[in-house]
Amino acid sequence: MTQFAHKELRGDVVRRIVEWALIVAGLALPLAPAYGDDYPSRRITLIAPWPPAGAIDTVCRELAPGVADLLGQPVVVENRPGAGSTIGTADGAKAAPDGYTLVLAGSGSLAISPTLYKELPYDPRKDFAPIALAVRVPFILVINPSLPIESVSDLISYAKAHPGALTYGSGGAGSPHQLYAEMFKTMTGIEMTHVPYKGSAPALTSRRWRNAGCPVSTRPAGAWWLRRRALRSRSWLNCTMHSERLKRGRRFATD
Amino acid sequence: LIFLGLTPQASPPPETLQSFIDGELVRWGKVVKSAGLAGTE
Repeated sequence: MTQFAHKELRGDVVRRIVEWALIVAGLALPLAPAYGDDYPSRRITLIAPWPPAGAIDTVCRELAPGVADLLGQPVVVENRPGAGSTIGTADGAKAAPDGYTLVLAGSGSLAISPTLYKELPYDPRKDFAPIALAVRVPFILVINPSLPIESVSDLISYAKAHPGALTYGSGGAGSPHQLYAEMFKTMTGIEMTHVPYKGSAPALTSRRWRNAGCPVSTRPAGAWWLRRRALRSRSWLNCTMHSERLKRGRRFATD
Repeated sequence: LIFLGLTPQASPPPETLQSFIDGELVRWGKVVKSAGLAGTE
């Protein structure tokens, strides 16, 4: 693992620890979308490439009724999770280019995975027609409350005192969750073992991390657990974590 | 969505979103490479 090479890049990265989600339509051959004058005349499928109860799934289910009212046709949300959201996104790329299959794709499958994966079954530049930037999704670092960790500096100290003891759950290889955790590791010099899941919700409900883990979660997926004090949050990754604070080990804003 | 902690966006027009994706590909590509994760999956 190499260190982040440039201070400027690192600062820019930290300021942008927010995933975006974009509604796109597949552009499978032929390239010209075959919209008819009567579009839409049947139901529209909106692919959520993440599991139920996560941020993208939540956004899809909030958007679908409004879009259905607007278009006069039902909009059905289908969860197709896996491989850091690249499976569902690939399904959207392969769908007929008729406007009846949409994907709520995020920075993971459209911007991170193309560099992370050796091969992807789609080209984010060529295989989609972007429709709308829908939402930005904040991420949080959450901690099992049974661990003696009250702050991010505690977390760093604990990890350094117990090398190899901590794991972190993510939304899978190539997910923003993984990338943010890897950034956190690089910036702090700690070690945590990656445990990939299909999304925030499966990571949070898994028992594997509960002994010594700290999942990186989207805000909506973690909120339920935080309200029930089943998790402790000591970091809003998107708005409070930056390199200077990490260096000084200050406590971050809490949830 | 706001109640859930999300930030709805006033989307730019579709014709400008391709350049947005292009920019994010470059930006996150640098991050992945800097983290030593390029081509690891």
